[in-house]
Amino acid sequence: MNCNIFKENMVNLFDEDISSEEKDEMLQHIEKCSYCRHEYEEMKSVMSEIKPQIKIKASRELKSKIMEQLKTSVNMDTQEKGKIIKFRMPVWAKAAAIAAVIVIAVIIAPFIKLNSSDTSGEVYAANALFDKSIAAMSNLKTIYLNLNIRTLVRDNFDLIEMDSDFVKNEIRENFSSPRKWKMEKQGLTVLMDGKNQYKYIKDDIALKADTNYGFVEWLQILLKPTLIMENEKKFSKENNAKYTIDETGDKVVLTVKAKALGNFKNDYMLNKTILESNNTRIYTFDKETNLLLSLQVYIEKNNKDVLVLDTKEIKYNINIPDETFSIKLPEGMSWTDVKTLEPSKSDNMKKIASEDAAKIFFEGLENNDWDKVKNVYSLPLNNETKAYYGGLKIISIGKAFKSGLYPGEFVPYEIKLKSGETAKANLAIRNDNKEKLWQVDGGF
Amino acid sequence: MNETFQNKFPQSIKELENFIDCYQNKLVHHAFFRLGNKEEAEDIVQEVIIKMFNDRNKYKDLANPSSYIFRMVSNSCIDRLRMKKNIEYKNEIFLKNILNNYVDDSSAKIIEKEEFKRVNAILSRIPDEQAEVIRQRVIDEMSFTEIADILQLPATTVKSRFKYGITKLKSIIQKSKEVQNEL
Repeated sequence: MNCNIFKENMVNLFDEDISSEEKDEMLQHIEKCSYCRHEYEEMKSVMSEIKPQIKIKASRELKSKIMEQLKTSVNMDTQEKGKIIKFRMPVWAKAAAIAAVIVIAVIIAPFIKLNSSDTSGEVYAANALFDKSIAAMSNLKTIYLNLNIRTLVRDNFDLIEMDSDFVKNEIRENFSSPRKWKMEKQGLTVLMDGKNQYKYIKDDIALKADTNYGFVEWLQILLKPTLIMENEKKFSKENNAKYTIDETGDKVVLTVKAKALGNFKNDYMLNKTILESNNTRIYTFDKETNLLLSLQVYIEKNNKDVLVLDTKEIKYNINIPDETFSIKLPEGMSWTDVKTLEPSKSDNMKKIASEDAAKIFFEGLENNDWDKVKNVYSLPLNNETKAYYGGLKIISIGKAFKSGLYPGEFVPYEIKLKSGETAKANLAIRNDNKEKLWQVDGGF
Repeated sequence: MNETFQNKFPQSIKELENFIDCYQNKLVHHAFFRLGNKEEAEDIVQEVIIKMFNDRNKYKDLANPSSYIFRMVSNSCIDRLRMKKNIEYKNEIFLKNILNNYVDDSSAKIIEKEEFKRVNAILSRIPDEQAEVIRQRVIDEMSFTEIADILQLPATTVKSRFKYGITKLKSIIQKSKEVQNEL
């Protein structure tokens, strides 16, 4: 072998697939030829520079996590495909804080710890508890939850109004294949019927999305009742929250103390959702069956813990008629698929500030110019909304700010409506889409 | 790479368990050295395995399932990185809070992260195409044939990318050593 051939084929020496004849021949060559030997040694040393000094191994739980997810993932055949929720595109809806979807995406991925080497009492108790929860899952057919939340009837489910009264929320879920669930309060219903998820704000907005969409935000933790413990533990780990597990008599109490997530240089969003507040979540499980018995959530405000969410009633395995899992829209309304909600791609909408986009929005309303409004608000507007906002007068548009977990910006505004009423609030507007185009998200 | 399951994607739970036993370490190792975070690496591996298993019928006749699953994991990691980059650009503080807030990292974790940074810092000095081949050969210990299969390229192209990449790194490393010596 000569040097040229060796150089040509040297990479083969770094391959497992090399034939033994070729290898021998090449090794023989470098024994004799110091130049090629040098080349070879240098290449080898570069490789060893890159080679990681450590081997990452799958944790012992990975396999059981996968197997469990397959078991508990709603059905092994077609619909949900055991998908882990991913980051989502925006939902244009009439409430300000939708960013929590992203947080949920992180916490809801099932995290099952079965063979932990950690033998501390707490972890052991948690694992034992969780073993039981898997067992409980197999007998779990349905769940009904009745819970009170301090919120507004038409706002997103996890939006909190500290000063408002409790509003009744109901969750019904059927775990048999395909899994279905419905969450509702007076003005808002979200339904998952095994094929899609639907969000219906009464007489106003009807949206359709895929089964794992984040319409119910943080509250989706309740939709996987046997995974609450693990999801909260995972959440704690990732968000620097603290949890304790106490056993008392026939009950197990999981207490999670979480700090507000997000940026509160401007504290507008502080305490507007559970995740954007310093809060305490207290879950009580039955020790025997490990089923959730109750949940209370307190938000800390002015050094006081205010109860903002409280379960009134939880029932398991009651009969829920299948008709529950459908929504009949009033005449004239139809479902809008969130995938079709595309921001306007006209050039003059690109590279503008959020304040300018807000101005376009309000100027459109001012002049009843609905095409103009459409540039920054892609949901269909109904006649009532048009009549209410059309012809308004802009008093002022302020400087945009960011707050909390919201991925967009808030633009302060003051307007005078046709009715004579003035309104002063913050328009929620976001541009976390591919083209970075602003879309009004809520706050009016 | 273990050849036992090369020829068939698992169709039953039992086969799936064997498949996981066989590939989980390699897949997690691979994903970790792309993402730098073991939890995320495992999430991706879990997601891909479950997705493929739920579609197992589709993959029944796959010629080389291990290459295919590496490609899937690899692509998911790249998507994840792209997504993280986007979000980071939008709201750095948010990301810090939500995704990377491991304040109480154990020493093992710190070592893992440092090693991730070190390796990726070196690979970032050469073109992506070349870095990709070197990554799979050196970090994932794939043969050139396997890499060719995963990247869907001729083996000769894989080898030449490897060679050019290593040569380039050699001169970079030498230069930086010279600089160090001068100091």
